[in-house]
Amino acid sequence: MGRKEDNIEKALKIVEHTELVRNIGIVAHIDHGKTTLSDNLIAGAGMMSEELAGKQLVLDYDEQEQARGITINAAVASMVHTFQGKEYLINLIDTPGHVDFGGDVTRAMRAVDGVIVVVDSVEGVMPQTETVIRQALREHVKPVLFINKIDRLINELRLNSDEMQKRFTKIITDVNRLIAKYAPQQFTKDWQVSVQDGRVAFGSAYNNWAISIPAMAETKITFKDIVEYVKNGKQKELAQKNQLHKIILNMVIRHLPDPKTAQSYRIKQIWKGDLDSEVGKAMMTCDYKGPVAMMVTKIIIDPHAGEIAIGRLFSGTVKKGTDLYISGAGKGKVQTLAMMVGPDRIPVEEVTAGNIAAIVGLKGAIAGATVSSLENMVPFEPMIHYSEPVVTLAIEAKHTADLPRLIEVLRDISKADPSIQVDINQETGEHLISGMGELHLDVTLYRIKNDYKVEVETSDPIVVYRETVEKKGGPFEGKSPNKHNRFYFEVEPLKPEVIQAIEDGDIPQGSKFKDKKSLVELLVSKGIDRDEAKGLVCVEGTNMMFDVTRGIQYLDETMELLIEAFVEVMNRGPLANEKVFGVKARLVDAKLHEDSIHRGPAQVIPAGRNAIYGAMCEAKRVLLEPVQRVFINVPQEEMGAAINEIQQRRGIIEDMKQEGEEISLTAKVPVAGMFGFASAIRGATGGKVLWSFENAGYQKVPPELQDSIVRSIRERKGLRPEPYDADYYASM
Amino acid sequence: MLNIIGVGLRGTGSITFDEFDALRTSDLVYIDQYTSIGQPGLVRKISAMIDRDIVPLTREEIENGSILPEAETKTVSLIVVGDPLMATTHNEIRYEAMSRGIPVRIFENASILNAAIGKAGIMVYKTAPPVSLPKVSDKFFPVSVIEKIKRNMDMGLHTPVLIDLEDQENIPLHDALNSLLQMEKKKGYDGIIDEICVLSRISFPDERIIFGKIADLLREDVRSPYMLIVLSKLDDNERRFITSFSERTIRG
Repeated sequence: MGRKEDNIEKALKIVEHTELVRNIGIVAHIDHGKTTLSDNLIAGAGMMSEELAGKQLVLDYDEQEQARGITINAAVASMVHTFQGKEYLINLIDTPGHVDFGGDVTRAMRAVDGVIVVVDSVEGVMPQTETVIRQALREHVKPVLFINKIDRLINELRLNSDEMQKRFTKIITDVNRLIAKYAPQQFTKDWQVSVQDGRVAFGSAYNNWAISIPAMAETKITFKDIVEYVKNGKQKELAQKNQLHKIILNMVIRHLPDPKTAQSYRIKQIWKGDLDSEVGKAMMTCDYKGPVAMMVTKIIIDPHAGEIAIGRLFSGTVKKGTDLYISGAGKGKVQTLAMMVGPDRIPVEEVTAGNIAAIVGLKGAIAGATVSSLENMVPFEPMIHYSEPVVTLAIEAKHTADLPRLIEVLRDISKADPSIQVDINQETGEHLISGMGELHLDVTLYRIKNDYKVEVETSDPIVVYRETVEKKGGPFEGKSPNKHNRFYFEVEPLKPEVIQAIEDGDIPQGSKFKDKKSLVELLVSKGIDRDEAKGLVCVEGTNMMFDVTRGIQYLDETMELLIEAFVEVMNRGPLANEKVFGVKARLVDAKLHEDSIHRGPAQVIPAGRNAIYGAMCEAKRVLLEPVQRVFINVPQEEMGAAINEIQQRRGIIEDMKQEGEEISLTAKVPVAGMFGFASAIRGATGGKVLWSFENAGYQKVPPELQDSIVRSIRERKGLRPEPYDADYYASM
Repeated sequence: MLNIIGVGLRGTGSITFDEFDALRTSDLVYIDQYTSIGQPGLVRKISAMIDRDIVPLTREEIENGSILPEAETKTVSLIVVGDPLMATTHNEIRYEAMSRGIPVRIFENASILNAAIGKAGIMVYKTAPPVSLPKVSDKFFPVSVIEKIKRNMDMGLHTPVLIDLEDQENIPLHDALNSLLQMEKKKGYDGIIDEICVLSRISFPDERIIFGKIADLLREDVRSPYMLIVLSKLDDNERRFITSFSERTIRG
């Protein structure tokens, strides 16, 4: 503890000198060694004992994170590192690598200015590596690269130094290709990583050593030497001469920007207020004397302290005891102010611009909230977080008396983890909790039972399906009950690049667009006809509604009602009342009654609904199911068992590679087939398996299964077993 | 055979001899209770008079034409308060019946519109077609209502305003006037509505006609059914008539 507080002491001296501060994150595909790297950095900087680092995983401070060996919460650690005679403060935010927790990664990116991308040298760039690089670059966060697990290349794959370097080149090229693809335009060149300028380091986080070209120049060590050390089991010695934390933190300080530099180009991206205003200027220059402007990136619910809001302070100084405004939630008093060191909060009196603060007292703040000393500060741009739940289950309190408590707990949980969605089934009154995967829900249930001590009973997990259409349908006429109003809708599948832009948050949700002009330009660039783009009225989920009619009198008066109809249909598809995915609905014509009383909500909403439903029937309705991409590593002799396990679950093997004695498989498996996979694959392979997965979107349910799945969903929801057809909607 | 029978505004008192005969010889008699509101006890009284049961129809039953199949083989009468063809709905039924080859007879009668204009004392020559004022919400706020009133005003015309129903009653006067004021505001037409005539329970025993400025009328309460006439500039005769024929509510 002594060293830790010592460190905080030092840290407090640095915080005001923003040029000496770095806010960084570490991102990687699961199991590429992110948390091990974090722990060794923290250990090296004196926050925990070196002996424990790599074994104890300080950042995985949730009991269950350790039990599962994965990182769930993004925790923060502040550390001090001396570079070229100066002491620097490095705020490290650990981010989860598991696909089930994707939401946290995005939020952490808002708080940091630079990231260390960790890539396992054996596996290379994996799909999730791409995802996290993309997330970082979208937020204008600058990357450096750490190629990890070099010892495995030498000991397991028995590569010589030439073969090793070839492999590095491939990884670096892959990473640079991603940077070129996703970096902000002004940085596509500047942010390329290269070995020569020291933006790439190599090493073994587990064995606590790393090298980089600038360091190699100093220590005169060569790749050949490294191979020798590792082969001869002398990694400890290697680690003493090439300390991981020094090499990595030097790289961070040299190549990742300080808050002031980063904010000069990041603010534009994350805040759309007036850059010439007082707060705009203060943020652009990271001015600690300016108004307080902070974005909350995480809420931790602490059993003692209550809600702790953690966030990045972009300008001003937060002081204990002062009042701050929270966007959408009024005012709160800073009761306790702290810097976070893993599970510990070290109380401080004030935190200045450019740093990460943990505040108790901001009741009502949620992840994404803007906190300011100004009452009406323009809020920060919402953090792009478009990951939809794929699994849901019904939950109830075991003892009826616990019900109010359970409701409270569910509210807390969805607040702390916005990727958990809590709904109430209107028909049965039971609570439904939806998450990013079976594991995500397991972890959440564990928390409910162990942290909140509420005994609950749950249903089996159910897959969340989606509905879409296969081709163009309509124009389909929907009549109002009084038959005096008629609306004509066409539907068709939305282009994948447009869906992507919605998922990335480039196309905002809803029907009130702040900057319609540039939105139209964006749509045009995605291949949507200009006239149609101008007619955009609503974005609901991954679906869009356009009005392409011209000069129809009174249509504007019914548009809100048509939007309501559209939103309703997109949330309750015609097949099984599941959400609709990737559909474009175009209003092509309308006939309206002269008198407004004859075209009120009770007339227009059903008419619009019938028209869209009917058009979807004509466009051939398709049920989509979520799929996961599964990565499996097994010894050769267990390959058959693993493949068998995948195929039993309607999985398709996409790729198979041999690395020494190991086989690595990539497969695509429907989420419906993945329930219970963890224990099944362990059993089938005698425990000799390493596996991970990521959500890989949706795919069509096999046609021969669609009808029976639709029927079973409908029956579960208490609907008539057969969906209605186009004739039904025409006759309404 | 389908008879569409307007029974006027005075309950059984305004049923004509022809209508009485048609009703008495009908196999089935229905009444529309959704497009307008009749005098209290109307169904019971007519039923006793013609010695037949009268079946009230809901809005859905009227809109989906559920009485038409019966009219193919039987004589069916549909009673409508006021004049039968002022609502589009009834022409829709007439049209549907004709396209099924069902003979249709129309029995016209007094309409609230004529009665209101006459009783208010304004000139029919200076009165525009009516507009309806629906119950408004965040998502349904049809400013075409005020646009039409404005257009009429610009031409020196008065605008009869029919009021939406909720639970078989007109929405309260206060709410209706407030909606008009909000619409004015939204369109930037502030102050275009000045004087209004409120006509409550026309031809009922407790008929009331109130004339005044919109701001003063906000404090008034009237019983349903009622309607408004938004007044344009009154000429001398109109002003002389309306001030004598109505309670005046000009205060302060």
